[in-house]
Amino acid sequence: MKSWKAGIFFLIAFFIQCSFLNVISIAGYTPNLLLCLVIVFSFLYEEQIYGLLYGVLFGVFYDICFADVVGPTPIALVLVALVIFVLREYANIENIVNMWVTSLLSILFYYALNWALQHLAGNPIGLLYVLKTLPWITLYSLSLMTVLYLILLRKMTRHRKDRYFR
Amino acid sequence: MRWMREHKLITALLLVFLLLLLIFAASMAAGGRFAHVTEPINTGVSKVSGIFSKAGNTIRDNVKGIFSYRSLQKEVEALKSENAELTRQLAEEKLTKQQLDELKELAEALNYDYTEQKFDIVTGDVISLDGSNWTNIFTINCGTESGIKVGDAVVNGIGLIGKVEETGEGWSKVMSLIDEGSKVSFKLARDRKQLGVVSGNEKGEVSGYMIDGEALVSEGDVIITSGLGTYPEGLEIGSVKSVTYNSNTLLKEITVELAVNFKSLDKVAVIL
Repeated sequence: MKSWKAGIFFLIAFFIQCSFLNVISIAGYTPNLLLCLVIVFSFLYEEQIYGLLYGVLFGVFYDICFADVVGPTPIALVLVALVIFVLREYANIENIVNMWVTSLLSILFYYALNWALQHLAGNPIGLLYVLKTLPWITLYSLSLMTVLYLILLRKMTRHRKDRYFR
Repeated sequence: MRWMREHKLITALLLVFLLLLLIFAASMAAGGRFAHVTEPINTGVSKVSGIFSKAGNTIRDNVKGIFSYRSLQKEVEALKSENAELTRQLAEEKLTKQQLDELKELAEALNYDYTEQKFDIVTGDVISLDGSNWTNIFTINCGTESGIKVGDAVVNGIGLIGKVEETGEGWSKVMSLIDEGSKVSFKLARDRKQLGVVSGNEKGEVSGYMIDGEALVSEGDVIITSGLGTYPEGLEIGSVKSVTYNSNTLLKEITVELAVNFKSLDKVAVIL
């Protein structure tokens, strides 16, 4: 995928996340689109680090617009992308179960890290409260990531390292 | 240096990560505000998200209308009966108004210093909302051009929402009562001598205590701002959900059910 196409994905996700998405929230919960894109892009594209780069850029914008301090979102997104780069080395990326496991671990890691950084910055919200909201966010995000994964997997170029490459 | 030249990608990633850590540390030290950097970004984002927000609201209103015809019909019926009741109450209140006018005349005659509290209010639409699911920070489409300043109280028709955290041309960032972590002074609506303090807690709720350990407070009591501190007097915060007596601090601790539902905010008003 070309860099500008990935950029447009992230740009639209950023604006949908903070405005339009609240319209289709279920019980007040919405999927985290930026996180979904970072996970799917990092999982599918090994040599292109768009997920990480755009994650940092839009993560900074996100914190500027919606957080008390700037930093927790991009830092958490960068670390999630790096963890996925490591995990994908041991996984066949064409297997959807691997994608689900990686995504689940990434979501948990992202929210734990984001909460820790926000807590450090003085946000009073407790970890238990965050964990209570997590099942719904995870389910919603996983469904969205599955759709994204199935679309992008068909479009991506097969990589030399894949065992199905001929 | 040679290692860095051989591992350009890793070096770049490390530099990005270090830069982010520096931004985070600087942001914490500055209390989260870099107005000169964040203002142009917020202005740009608020303009675009305003368009997305309008489109979203239009779709929601139309789709909601189609799928909730029956509930809307019930709501109309309920509103009709409420309207009839309010009309009846208004007729009764007219007598009270006459009495009030008489009292004002009497106050004037006795040279009583009567001061009426009045606020300037600016209304705005919520154009973007934090999607992180555990904080309630949002942006509205009015800012410094309307005279809004940092710290101004934000309310809606139901009660107190929070205060303006940052503002610029055409936008203001609002932080809710739950998220700001600062303490809000309140009094009971039925007995205005009973004072207390509430703040957001780690469970995503609002809790606090009564200043008088023997205060008569019970579940369902409505609490309003006392006027001490940032918020003007008389804004509804919510109702008391539970009361417990803490024998260590000798204080009555309360948890509060907020009047406002943060997930369904459309229009808000800023008290200047």
